[in-house]
Amino acid sequence: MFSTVDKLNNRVVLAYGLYGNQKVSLEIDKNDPFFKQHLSEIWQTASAYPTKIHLRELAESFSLMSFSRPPDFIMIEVKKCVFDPESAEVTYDIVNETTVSYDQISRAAK
Amino acid sequence: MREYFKNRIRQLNEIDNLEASLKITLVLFVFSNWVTGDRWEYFTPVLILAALALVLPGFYKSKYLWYSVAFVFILKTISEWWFQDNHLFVNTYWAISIAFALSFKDVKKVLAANARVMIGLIFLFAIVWKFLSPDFISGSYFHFTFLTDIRFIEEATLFGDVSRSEIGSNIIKLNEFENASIEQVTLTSSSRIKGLTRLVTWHTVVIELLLAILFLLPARLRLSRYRNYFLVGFVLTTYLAMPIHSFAWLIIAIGISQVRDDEWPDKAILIACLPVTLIYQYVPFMQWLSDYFNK
Repeated sequence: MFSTVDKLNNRVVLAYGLYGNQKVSLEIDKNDPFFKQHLSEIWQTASAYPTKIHLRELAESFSLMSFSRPPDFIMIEVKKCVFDPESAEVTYDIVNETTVSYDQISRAAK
Repeated sequence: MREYFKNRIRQLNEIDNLEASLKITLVLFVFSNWVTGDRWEYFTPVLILAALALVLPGFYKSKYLWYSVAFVFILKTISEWWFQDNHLFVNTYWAISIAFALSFKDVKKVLAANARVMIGLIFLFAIVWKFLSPDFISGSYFHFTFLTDIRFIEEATLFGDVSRSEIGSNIIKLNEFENASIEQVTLTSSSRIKGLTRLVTWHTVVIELLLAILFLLPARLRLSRYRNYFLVGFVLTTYLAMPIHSFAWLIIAIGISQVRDDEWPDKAILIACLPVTLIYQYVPFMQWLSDYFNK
């Protein structure tokens, strides 16, 4: 992914908690020790090679997080950067996404 | 004075290729967090082995040392396969090549042949990938990089007619994409940056293509004689703008091992490039120039 706008640092990984019809963005602090210890590598792998398996692994790692109100589902999206040099406009296109039942992954984690 | 410099250059040229190349590689590995990142499992063994190899007489050419270093790099490469920086793969290949070469009787010849092919293939694959990447050939890649990468801020402000605050605001806009509600942003650009982009793009294409050809040409062809000068040209021009001194250092170390005895004064010039890569990295002269012209 070198020599292209779609390189690793320019990809965006978004995580959401789904509560019924409501989609809530899960704010991730990448400087948080929890992120560094449990999520960092899986996050980067999902970003670089966003297969369903890698995205599911990332979603599963959210079972280690404590939620005041656990979501019904965890949704992961990986987006790549697209740059139009004429207009200098940047958009992000979805590369892959997955949704996993929180109940299922938290039971599997136990 | 002239005689003094001539003698120093002659001395540099008389240094054994194998010793120079291996020790220069080990100096890089002493700063192992540059090449392995900050994970202690990888940088600590590489740092200890490299330091011992530089201190203990003759240890630098022990095949066991290089197999051990290669083993650490292989472990790191396997565990970080998907997101390891492309330059770090070259460290792994180089450590493996040295370990294998040291297992042969004619170490210098084997290492030189491997080094030459390795440099040729590095640039061949790099240039093939660049041609396959429409972002690169169209100039989009460097255009976007100059507008959003803090490492190129001096070059962009000096030659691209965008201010530091505009680049700062571009970076903030991009970070807002982490917030899912944003669909698109428009970066602040300039018409001059397109010219800069074209220059840097085509400089990279031409020099990398020439390096691939010159290093992969059979040694008997006279044209291949100029390969080391192009390698020097590549290091001195590319790393002036790209702050990747660890790769510049590594490519020089690999380059030194394949210089032939009759190629005077190539080795001395390559060795002289080493401090230049550090000057490029640490002396903020681009910032001084940028500040001076943007007053």
